[in-house]
Amino acid sequence: MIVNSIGDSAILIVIGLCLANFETLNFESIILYATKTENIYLINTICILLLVAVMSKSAQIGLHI
Amino acid sequence: MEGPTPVSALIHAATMVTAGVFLIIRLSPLFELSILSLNLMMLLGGITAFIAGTIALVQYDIKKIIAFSTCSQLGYMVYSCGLSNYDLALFHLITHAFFKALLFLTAGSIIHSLNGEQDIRKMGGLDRVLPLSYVFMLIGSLCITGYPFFIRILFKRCYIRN
Repeated sequence: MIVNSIGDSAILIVIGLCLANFETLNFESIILYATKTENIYLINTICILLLVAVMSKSAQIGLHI
Repeated sequence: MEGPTPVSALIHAATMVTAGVFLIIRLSPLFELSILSLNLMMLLGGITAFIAGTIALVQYDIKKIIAFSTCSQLGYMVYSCGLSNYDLALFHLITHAFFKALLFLTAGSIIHSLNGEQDIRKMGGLDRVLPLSYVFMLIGSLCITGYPFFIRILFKRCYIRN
């Protein structure tokens, strides 16, 4: 379905951003690097894209079926 | 997200739809760094909890009522994550899995006993013919509304206090 595709694209972009900027996919390492970085736009982008993935997975308003 | 009733009990109560909330809880230190996403999350969860609960009031299909109730509870979980109460969201997720599985399995039993009838306008007086389903549906409904001596009364107090 289209809703699942949107959410999966969002979390794929998040994975790509984490690999490009933090060079790891470990939860603890991502959190550690994110607290060290000064780039607030990167953190905002990652969080909002994760929120889009959550919207599609948990059927929130906007991406519900 | 439609399927046979035991499948609905599995994916709606515990497994599939709560994966998003679990992702938020797992990455909570990352979300704490971004106030914008926390505010968006709170807005999203509040709107979802209100609209899904309102839609559930006007449905006639017994399974759709329970499914929209699940949507509403997920909205509550996302809302409490947006307020940085991740422990409350996880506790809500676990107890929601138990009572929603009970409600779905009871609904499946009632539908099966009525030869596949799902319209609640055609049901009535089921406490005479299906007393056990009646009692379990009553227990699930009391639990979901946060009746005293059930565990959900804790949530009502926590949400109101926050």
